[in-house]
Amino acid sequence: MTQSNITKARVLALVEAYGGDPARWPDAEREAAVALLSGDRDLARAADEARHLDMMLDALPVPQPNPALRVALKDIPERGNPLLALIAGWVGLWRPAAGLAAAAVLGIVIGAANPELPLPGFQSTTTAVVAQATGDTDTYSLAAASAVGFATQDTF
Amino acid sequence: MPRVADGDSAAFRLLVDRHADRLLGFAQRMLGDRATAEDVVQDTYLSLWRKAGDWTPQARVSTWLYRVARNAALDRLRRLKPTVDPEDVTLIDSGPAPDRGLHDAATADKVRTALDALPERQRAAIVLVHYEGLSGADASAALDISVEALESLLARGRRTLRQALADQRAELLGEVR
Repeated sequence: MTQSNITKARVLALVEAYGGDPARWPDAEREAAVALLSGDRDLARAADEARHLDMMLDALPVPQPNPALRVALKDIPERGNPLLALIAGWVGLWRPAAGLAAAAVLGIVIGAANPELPLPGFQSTTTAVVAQATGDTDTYSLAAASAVGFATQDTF
Repeated sequence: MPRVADGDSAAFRLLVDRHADRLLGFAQRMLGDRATAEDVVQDTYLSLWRKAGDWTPQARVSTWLYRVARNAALDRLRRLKPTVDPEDVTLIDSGPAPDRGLHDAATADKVRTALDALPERQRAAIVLVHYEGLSGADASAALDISVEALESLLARGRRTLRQALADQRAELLGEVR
């Protein structure tokens, strides 16, 4: 925008929006606006008022950088990897199911490694039924006692 | 940005070095609270790492980051408002620094209060243009509005600030003259 086609209203609008420092005004309009302002008392007064507000706004202290924050931010790629976050979310969701599955596998492994391990109740009852059917009274009595919870050596 | 989108952590760290301090200043001036401002900057860079692919070459990186930071600050403001008493919010640097007089500190307090009282959009516009030194074009892009709308926000915000700081202005003029 050239000096000839910028208006007083536009310069006033620039002052009201961007303040009294021409450095903040849009590059394309700055030169023309400054030229018009320098010859106009109303505009000069408006710019003066705006500069007072600028000075008050500048009383607010400049926020200080935080080096520790920078360090933490630079660490984000390590802890903020989207793939890792996805896996972490999946693990969080399936943790209970994974725990159950692990317990089941452990049970199968222990069972396979110890075929003689007694399984209270089921084994005794099954053995008792088989013994009863085959007429093996000794086994039937022992198995039946075991199935209902008696210690064989105490009873027999 | 395309390198960051590809998972290049060195490129990411470069953007931390280039923009983190200014984003912290922006967030602190928007929120008036240092700790929350730091959280906002963390949110911003987490978004950068996760969503760098959303960036388009039409937007400047700084503008994109300011936009993300402003949205993060808005989220924090919404969460803070119902529970935090403004009296309890610690205003960092609001006390007199060793090289500042009591009058400066009082003015800073008044400015902080007046800024906090502005509608968020007006405050964001003033912080971006006056404090962060963004051009009208960049600030309007960061706020996702037209330059005309930005200038309207700026003018209304400055008018309100001028009224709120009228007493301080009289004191300031007394000192200047």
